[in-house]
Amino acid sequence: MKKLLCTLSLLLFLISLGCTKHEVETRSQVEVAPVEVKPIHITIDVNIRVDKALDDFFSDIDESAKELK
Amino acid sequence: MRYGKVLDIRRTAMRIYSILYAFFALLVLLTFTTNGMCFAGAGDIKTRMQERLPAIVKMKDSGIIGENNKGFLEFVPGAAKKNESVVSAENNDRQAVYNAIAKQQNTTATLVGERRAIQIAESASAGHWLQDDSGNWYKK
Repeated sequence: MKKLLCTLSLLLFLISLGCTKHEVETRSQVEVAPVEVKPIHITIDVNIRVDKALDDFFSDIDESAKELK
Repeated sequence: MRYGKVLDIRRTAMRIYSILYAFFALLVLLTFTTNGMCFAGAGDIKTRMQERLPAIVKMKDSGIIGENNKGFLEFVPGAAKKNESVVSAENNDRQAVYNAIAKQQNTTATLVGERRAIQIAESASAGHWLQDDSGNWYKK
């Protein structure tokens, strides 16, 4: 009888363990470095766009000037 | 009666189609004819600059004028100031072009002029006067 009670209590204990919720919480932290937009990049971009606009306008005139030289 | 109504609708549709076709044709035409003319009046400025070009090249060859570091023509220090009207007219037109490009590219006319000065210096003929970044005049 005692043996049976012990077995039953052990069984109940094991069942109760199975019913409990086990959670493993993992946290990963990714550090993102602040994005730094350097003014030099902007300046180069503007210069390229301005050069292109100047080329578009003055290309004919520059060609004529070359012919005159 | 019903047939007439269908004809009316068809005529209206054709009219709308013609108007749209004309509009797009005009748009295409404007796109190709204004290549390199990025603002209003650009064509006139270009024509004037082309007309002045022989006189300007001649003055540059003679060493009377040079290109400064701001994208404008300038009398070389010590040179006789001949054809001042040509020089000032050219500079006025250049200023208008720089202003328009600056507005278009959301920058300053000074920067546009400086960029143009670099372009001019690169393509300048040997013997022409140029101004460096420090403001000193030199012969290429």
